[in-house]
Amino acid sequence: MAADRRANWLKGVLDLAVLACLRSGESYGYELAKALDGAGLGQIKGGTLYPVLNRLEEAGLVEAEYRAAERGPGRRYYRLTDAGRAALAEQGESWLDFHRAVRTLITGGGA
Amino acid sequence: MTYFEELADALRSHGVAADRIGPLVDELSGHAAESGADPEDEFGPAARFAAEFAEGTGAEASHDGPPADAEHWVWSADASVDEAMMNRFGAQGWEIERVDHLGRFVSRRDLASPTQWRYRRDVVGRRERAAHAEALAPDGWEPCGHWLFLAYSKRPLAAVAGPAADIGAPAGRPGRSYYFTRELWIPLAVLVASLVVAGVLLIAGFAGGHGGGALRGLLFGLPVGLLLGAIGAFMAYRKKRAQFARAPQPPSDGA
Repeated sequence: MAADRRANWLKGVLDLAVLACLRSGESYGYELAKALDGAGLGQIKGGTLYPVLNRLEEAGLVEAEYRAAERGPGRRYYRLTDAGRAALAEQGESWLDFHRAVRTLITGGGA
Repeated sequence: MTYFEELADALRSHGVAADRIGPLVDELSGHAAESGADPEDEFGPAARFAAEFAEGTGAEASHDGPPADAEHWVWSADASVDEAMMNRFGAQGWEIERVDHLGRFVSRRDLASPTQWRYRRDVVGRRERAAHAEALAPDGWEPCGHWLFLAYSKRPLAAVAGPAADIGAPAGRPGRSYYFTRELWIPLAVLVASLVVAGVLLIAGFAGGHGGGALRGLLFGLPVGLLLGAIGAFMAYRKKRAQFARAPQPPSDGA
């Protein structure tokens, strides 16, 4: 039940969380999944993460570069575009407003 | 078929661009290798992943026909029955879009208005494929795939039969996806049996203390066997090609 609730919350904010993970520099899928887990959002499966990355790329918020590896499969490295940075700032602010409202409500106005 | 082959097929059938599929599959297999997770567990069923991914690329919008109105099926048959099976399934509304690198027929069926398809198979050299397609085009045939020296063509039955080609209630999806006959099994069984016998004799040679003799026999026998096998395979290939070239076309639909 708690896991379901968290999954639902995550749906609304995962795009933003991925953009935030890329703020400090480029990264690739598995590393992003680890970063999200490390940030406390839980283990994000590849089946959830890659469609999100693809949507962000299609929307021009991130750009990706494929680099072949010396051994094993290559990796696609994602980085924020200017539009992605702007979206992160704007959507981040919206999320924080929302978060403040919920927090105020839950704590009975004593936040 | 591995998970990633299945995924690549599913992405293709959802209209994801070919130059996007390779790097994506590479990326995902790298992720699976690094995380040590089972691909299906990590990415979910291939069909579902492909559908979600394609939704993001907008590939479905440019794909031929709305995806919810079409079902997809990948199947295979050996060359002794393929044409008959293609026409059987064509009559049930299955349109072959292409032949994949494993020689399987990648098919779709329009659920909204299924129509019958006819197929033909011809023996065509690689360089003659374009001329062959051009020669058949006036009769409404278009290429739908190649495999070795075989060229497959399709034509909607409606091209010659009009609305009579429409299917009211299409048959369910066939229960099997592979139709292999003894034409394929017997040569395969002979090959496997030969390898087993050779392996057993070799092991027996080493176990009986005749390792040196067995090794000398292997040094002589292996190249000779490979040469004889290659000659046999080449002759069988030529024979089959000539046999298929002589095979009559199924009755035409009037064109």
